[in-house]
Order: sequence, then C-alpha cells, then structure tokens
Amino acid sequence: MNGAPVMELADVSRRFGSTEVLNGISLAVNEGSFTSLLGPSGCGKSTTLRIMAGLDQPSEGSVRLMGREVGELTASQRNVAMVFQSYALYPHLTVAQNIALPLVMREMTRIERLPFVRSLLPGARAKRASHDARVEKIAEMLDITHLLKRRPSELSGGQKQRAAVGRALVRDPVIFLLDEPLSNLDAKLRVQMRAELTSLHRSTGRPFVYVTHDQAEAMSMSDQVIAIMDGKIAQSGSPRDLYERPSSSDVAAFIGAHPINLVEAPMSGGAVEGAFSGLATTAANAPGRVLVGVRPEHLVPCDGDGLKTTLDRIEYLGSETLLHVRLDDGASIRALAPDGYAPPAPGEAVVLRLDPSRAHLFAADTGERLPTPFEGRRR
Amino acid sequence: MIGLSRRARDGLTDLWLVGPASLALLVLIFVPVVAVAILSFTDYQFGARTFNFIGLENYKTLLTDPIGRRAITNTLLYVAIVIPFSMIFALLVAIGLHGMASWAAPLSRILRAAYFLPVAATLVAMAIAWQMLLHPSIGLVNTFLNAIGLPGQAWLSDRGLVLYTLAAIGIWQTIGYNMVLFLAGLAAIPGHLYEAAACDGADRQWERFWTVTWPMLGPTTLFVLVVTATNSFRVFETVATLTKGGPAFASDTLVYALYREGFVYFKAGYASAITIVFFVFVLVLTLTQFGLLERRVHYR
Repeated sequence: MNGAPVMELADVSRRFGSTEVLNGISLAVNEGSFTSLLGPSGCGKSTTLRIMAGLDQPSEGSVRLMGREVGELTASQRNVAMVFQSYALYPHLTVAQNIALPLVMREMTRIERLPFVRSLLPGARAKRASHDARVEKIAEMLDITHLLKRRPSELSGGQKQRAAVGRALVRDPVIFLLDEPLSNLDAKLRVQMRAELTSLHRSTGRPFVYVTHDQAEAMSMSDQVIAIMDGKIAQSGSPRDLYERPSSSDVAAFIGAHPINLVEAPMSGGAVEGAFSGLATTAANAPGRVLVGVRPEHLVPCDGDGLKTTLDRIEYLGSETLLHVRLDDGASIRALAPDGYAPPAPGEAVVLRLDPSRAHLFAADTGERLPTPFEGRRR
Repeated sequence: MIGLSRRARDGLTDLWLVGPASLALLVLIFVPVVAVAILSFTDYQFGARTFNFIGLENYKTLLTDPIGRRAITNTLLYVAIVIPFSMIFALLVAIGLHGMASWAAPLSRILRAAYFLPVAATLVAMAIAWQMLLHPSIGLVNTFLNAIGLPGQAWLSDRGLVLYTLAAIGIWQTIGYNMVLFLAGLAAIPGHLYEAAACDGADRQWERFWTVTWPMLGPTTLFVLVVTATNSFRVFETVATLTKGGPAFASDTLVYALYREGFVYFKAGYASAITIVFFVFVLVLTLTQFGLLERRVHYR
C-alpha cells in the first residue's frame, strides 16, 4: 500500500483575516492509499481538502502533486476529482449529462458545445458518442444505468451520491477527494456506501482522501488516518495506531466507538496513586497530575481482584451492556460487559478487571501522552 | 364555537383570514373590470344620461383607426425594446456587482444604491431631469455630442426618434429594479456548484456562466421577465410628462391613449375598449411566459 507520494502538503497554513484555520500542516498521501482526515467540525479538515483540490490557496506552504508544485494550478488542471457533501449535481442536467460534463469541458471546444452545433459537426458528434459510451460504462459500474435520463431532483440521496461519484470517476483523476460524502445519508445506507467506496477504491487503484468527523468511517475504511484538531495535525498513522497509542487525550477522546474514560489522578515518582495505582510512566520527569485513559471495552466485570466500583445504572445495547459505575473517590466511569452478563442491582458493588497494558496516561495539563512500561510491546 | 368540529373551526378561521381581502378585491377590481368590459360595448360618455350598445364598434375603431393602431404598435415596439435591453444590462450589472462584492464591498454597495436610485425616485421628477438633459439646444446630451463633433438630435420632438428616447429612459429606470432581483438570484446560487464546476473544468467565466449561473437563475429570470413585461406595457409617466404622445402621436401608447380618450375627451366607452385590449395583452403575455417557461426553469 505504500507507493510513492501522490499528494503532499508541506507546512501549509491558511488564515482568513486574523483567524488561523490551518497551522503548519504537513502530510503525504501515497499511491493507492485511503487517507482519512478526521476531526471535529471546524478543525480545518475541509479547508485542507479544498487546498489539495485547488479550490482554496494556502497562505503559506506548498502543495505538491506527483512531485510537482501545483500551487498555481486550478482544480481541473490538477485533474483531481471531488465529491461534495451536498453532491453538487447540476439540477438542470440529467444524470448522464452531469456525469459527462467533465468530458464535455475537457474535450470539446466552445463552438462544439453550442446547442445545435453539437449535433451538426461530425467531430462533435463523434466526441459525444465516445462520451456516451464512457458514461454508460461508469453507470453500469455504479448500477445507475436506469437513472441516466433523470434529473437530480428525481433521485434519492443514495442515488445522488452515486451520480456524484460517477462524475468524479469519469475523468480518471489522479486523486479522489471526498468531503464528508456520506453524512447526508441515513445510517443504514451509510454503512452500505462505506463498503462500496472501499471496493471502488480498490478497483480504481487511485488514492482517496476522505474527510469525515465520524471516527467509525475513518477507522473502518482507511489505511491512514490523520486526526486534525484546531488546525494542526494531532496524530497521523494507521487506525490501529490511533486507537492503541493516541498521542494526546484529545485524540483518545475522539477515537473509539465508546468514548474513553479520562480520570484525573495524582502521581508521585512516576506511579499513579488512588484507584488506578499500579499504573506508572517511564517518563523521566513525570508530572504531579495525570489523566488516566481507559476505554470502556477494556474494563470488564470480573469475580476476583480488580477495580472496586459501585453500579449507577446500565445501558443494555444487545450485544453488550454499558455499565455506568462510580469509583470510591466519586469519579464516574463507564465499563463494557459482554453479552450474557447479568448486572447486579444499581448501588451494588462491581469489580472491574483492568489490563494495565491497555491503559493510557496523559499529562493532566497538556494532554500529552506519557510513555508506559508496556510501550512498544504492542504494534 | 362549541359544537363545531375542529375541521369546521379551521375552515372558519381560513375564511375569516381570506374574507376581507377577497371582498375588497371583488368590489375594487372584479366588479369594475366587468363594468369596464360592459362599457366597452357602448358609446357612453362621462356625464351623459344615456348610452347605446354599439357592439364591437369601439374595438373596430381602435384596430382600424390609424391613431389607435399607432398606440398599439408603439406600445409593442416599446415593450420589445425595453424587455431585452433592461434584462441583459441588469444581469450584466448584477454579475459585476456580485463579483465586486468580494473584493470591493463598499464600492459595490455604493454602485448598487446608485443603480437603484431611479427605481426609488419619483418618475415624474426624473422625467423633468431628462427633459433638461435632452433639451435640443441647451441640454447636456446635445452639448456633449457637439463637443465630440456629432450633430445634436431633437430627442423628444423627432418623430422617428422619440419612441426610442422614451424606451432608453424606460430601460434606465428598469435596470435598477431588475438588478436587485438578479442580485438576489445570484446570492441564492449555492457556492458548491461553482466549486464542482471548477473541478469539472468549467472554471473560466464563460463556462461558469453557462454551466451554473444562467441555469440556476432560471426562476429569477422568469420572474424578472414577467415583471418587466407588465411594467413596460404600462408605460405612462414619461409619455405624459415629456411628449404627451406627440409629436403627431409618434409616442402615443396604449395607456396614454386610454388616459387621453377617457379623461380628456371623456369617451368612456372607447377608453374602456382600450383598457380591455391592454388587459388582454398583459394577460396573454403573462400566461404564455408562465406556461412556456415555468416548467423549464424549475428542473423538477
């Protein structure tokens, strides 16, 4: 999966007036990779994508495509394809005309595009026939052949999505840029389209850059996730990296289906005190206070020794049960019990087993990750 | 209220809301229109005690009499000039100001206000200003033409020229209003369509216009067309203040003829016939525009 870099950003910053939206973004999207830009809304991920596309210019820094500086090139000169959150289909054109538009713009002259002329000139007729054939092929691939004659207003959300993808596919672009393409679809369709996009990625072999605020999409589809927070890259790596070794408490809080437990605890001499005693950092000068990060799925009820808690309430989720429990010092955390667990009544004691190698420590003031003795054993 | 079903009560509320306005419409518009339609078949004169039904005589006069025909052809010519020019210029100005708003917002706002001024100002007062500008010997227009070596024109008293002069003033006055409508239409075009067009290769002005701007302005353009058409059919103030339909009926229009026949010569029957013809023109024009174009501009 690690080919040559196709799209590179080097130290890109973007300011709107005095507001800094992006601050020193450097990243590379390699040949054949599926890269997600993940972050909360307003973090700058869409701006990053628009700078890649050429729809926006960086205030500082450089954009390279296939090793070439492309700062001055327009989106169509870069031959990038973009799929928009709102699909951005032309409402006055049929699906077929929408998909063919990039071809018409690239291959026909202004004269040939004129109405009437386009059906008279033999050259224009031949080009149209070739466009029709290519549109037909794309439509077959996306299973929208029966929709080609319809206008966008006659399509459902998922069908519009496919038409927009078709318009991106038809030009054989060097890179696909997708700006939250699934966020307007309902949950079930979203999961289905996820799989379709992944297989599309595989069949085109082109790099995809996928902007999303949904960590599940980013984790399930990508081989590279770039978490952006406050205009900076917080962490980049494989989905597993981000899940198992989050570089900060913010990234840890953003990743994972169930939000991570972050409990503040005092520390002395590198060892955590209180409920989570037993955890320690190998950092040379450890801070006095830390955030202990433990994911609910790594806290499982058990019979023997462990973390002693009191049950507040439960959320039954079918395949698992989410337990809201209280530590002795009053802090409230969540734990995940497997299917078949019979929860005690609220107010009863629950003992949780914690695998210390799955716990994370972050500096309480900066949120930065602190190394633990287990560092390097996983991966 | 008690005893009535919810539906009946809702219906009563609707009637109560619609009622007064409908009654006013009936009394002030529909009844007079019917009265005018009936009068148009008579030789009634204001103040007369009796009148006779004369069938289609008034309409025959209007369509065969040279003066009547002149008013009709003048009006159609005026409309045919004002509609396309005021719309094209308004669209160009709107696109320019819309683009300018992103790099010179204050200037764009000042120009917008300047273009809208003729709409806000009283047309009669503006007509006086035009009269002075167009004065054959001391007017600014002719002074300027003479200065660059062109002969001055008798803008308002040359029979071949006067209608075009009035049309030019009509265009000047309509641009501002149409521009505001087009500006609103332009502001409503979603930006992501332009971005999609940029990705698809339609990124130069010409391609952007025909791929996104013009199709997306469809509903606005239809509305502007209908409003401009009905307004220019009603041309009256400039004719009344500047030319009184002259010289020799060269600038006579339907509404001015209606005013002259009805309120100067008191020929109420004939004036009613003109009113009905005018009404039919506007109605047919509006219905065709909506019928032909409405389905084509909404993309549903």
